[in-house]
Amino acid sequence: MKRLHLTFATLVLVLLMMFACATIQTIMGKETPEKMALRFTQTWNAEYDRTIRLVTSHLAVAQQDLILVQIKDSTLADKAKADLLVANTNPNLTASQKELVNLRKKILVQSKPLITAFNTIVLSGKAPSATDQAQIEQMLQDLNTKYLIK
Amino acid sequence: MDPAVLSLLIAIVGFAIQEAQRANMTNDEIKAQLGIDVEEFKLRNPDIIPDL
Repeated sequence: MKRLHLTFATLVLVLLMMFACATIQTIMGKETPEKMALRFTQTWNAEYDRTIRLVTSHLAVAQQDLILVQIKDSTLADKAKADLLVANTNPNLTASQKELVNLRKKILVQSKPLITAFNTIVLSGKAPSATDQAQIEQMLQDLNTKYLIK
Repeated sequence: MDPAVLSLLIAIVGFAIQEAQRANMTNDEIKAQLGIDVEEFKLRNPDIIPDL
């Protein structure tokens, strides 16, 4: 009976430690993998939008907003979205702006599968690797520093 | 008090604290934690950005 009590107490203590760790993590403000995945996704999408705004920089903000809404529309085919962007590309973009768009597109294309994989791992309840996290952080930082739209 | 009962009480208090914190979380945080709204984690298609 005493052994049963001891086992039960140990199990409860382990549970308590798990709760305590989660509580401390929240109190200390440490980013959980879920919050990190959400931040990566939101940052990536924000950088994507900034790139689209640069491509369509000759249009009014309201028109750009309309294009962004259409791009987010999952019922619209990718071909139609691509055509929409080609039709609304600023014809007066400078050579350096064009280069910036191309470089940003390259990073967005390269980082998308990494973030998608990261999100899948996190949403399935598993722990993502620190290497994946660091690689994504670096790419997002590049978009916001080296290839910043001014 | 029996250590097992004490441990159980402590665990219940810990659980209650965590639940109270969860109640104060934003919708996004809850969705993110529970993985319910997958839409939140969707990325757009970068291939449609024109090559200039």
